[in-house]
Amino acid sequence: MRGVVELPAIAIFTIVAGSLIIAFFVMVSQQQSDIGKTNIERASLERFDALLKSAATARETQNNITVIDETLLYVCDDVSMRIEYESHTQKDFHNMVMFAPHKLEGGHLRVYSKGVDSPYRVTNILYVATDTYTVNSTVPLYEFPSNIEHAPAASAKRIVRDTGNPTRNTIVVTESPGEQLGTVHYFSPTDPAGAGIVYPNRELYYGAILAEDAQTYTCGLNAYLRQLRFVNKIEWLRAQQLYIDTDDEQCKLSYQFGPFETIEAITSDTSGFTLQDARDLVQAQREIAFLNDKLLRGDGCAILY
Amino acid sequence: MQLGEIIIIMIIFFFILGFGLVFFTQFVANQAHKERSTVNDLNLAETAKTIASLPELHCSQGGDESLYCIDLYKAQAFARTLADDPLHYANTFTGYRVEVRCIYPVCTEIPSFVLLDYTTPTAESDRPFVLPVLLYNPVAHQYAYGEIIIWQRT
Repeated sequence: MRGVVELPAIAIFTIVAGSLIIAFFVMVSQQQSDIGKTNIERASLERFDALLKSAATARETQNNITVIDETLLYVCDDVSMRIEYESHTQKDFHNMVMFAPHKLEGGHLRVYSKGVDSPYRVTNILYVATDTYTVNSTVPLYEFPSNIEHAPAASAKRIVRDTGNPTRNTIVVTESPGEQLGTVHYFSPTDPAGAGIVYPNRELYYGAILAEDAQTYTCGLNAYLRQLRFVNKIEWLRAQQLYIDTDDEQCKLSYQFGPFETIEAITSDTSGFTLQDARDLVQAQREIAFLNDKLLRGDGCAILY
Repeated sequence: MQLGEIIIIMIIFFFILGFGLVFFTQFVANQAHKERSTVNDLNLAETAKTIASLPELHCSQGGDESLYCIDLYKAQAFARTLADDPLHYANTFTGYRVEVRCIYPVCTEIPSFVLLDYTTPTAESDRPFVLPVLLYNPVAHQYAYGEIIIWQRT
């Protein structure tokens, strides 16, 4: 009778203790597994983030990166510009001007950066492309990242991006003769007419090629114009301060604010960026460059940029 | 008597288990603290690099920029512009305060000033990251040795 009482007590103890130990280890291993998975995702994005930030700080770079074999989504909208990793981990690149296809399939990615001087340096534009990205173009792509293949296309001034659906991915670029600006048309089932969007310089033109659609390109263009406005304001305030602090009357003559005001007016107007705006922008930039050249030749004048 | 022994064994077992749990939790917390400290240091260094590479601040000669040289007129204009449009870099520098300080040789006409401040007044302050730079006054054509001091406050 006594043995009958003792045995269940030991058994109960063993079962309780065993269950607790097993539960503890299951819980810890489950936790570690979740942490490990999140860490891999985070590390992958952190590496990508570090590479983008590093590229953004250098005038001209080409980098390759291998991300784990998953799909990264590039999203650019009114709220932010971000890379999403399977839609739950994400990185925001609000202040970067970046162009990329919507889907960046895992594996090898190429990241390029290029500085934009307008005429003072505005930013470094980032271009992200997958390893297999091909651009066929009859337009000379002089400075386009050399690792991206490009070959002559059938019709003039027509760029076909080899990313699957030819209807969705066809763009036509119209260039103004002698200028580095023009209009880009994205043809898609929802926009068969391909509404024209302006590019004001070479760097944005390359961005237009890499952008998946009109909306994404416009988003990148707006980010560029925001940055241009910000930098222009700084250069403008600097010129005003130089005017105040300089005693030399000859120098003062070259501290003119008209071109800065023009750029401010163009970049503040959010109603739409037209070809005329692009031309006015280029003209204002030339005027600033001209004034700067005059100051460079002047005797001891502080230059504009 | 047997039941008493079992109870004592169970108490000892749960005591050891509890001790193990507390030890493990402490260990994990310490690891997390160390990791956080490392991440903070890396973030500070990365932010310093980003600040130092902002084209809005660099000394330049017709577009050619000098790295680690800050044009004082640009830096002061940058601070004013950012005060008017604080959202522009809010995303990049959230939780950071950056100051420009002149050190040597002539600093009377070159004041120290706050370049940007995205911290809250009540936030806890960590040790700052100091980046040596050249400060350039374009009107006087003078260079001075200075520092960019970056605080991360969370």
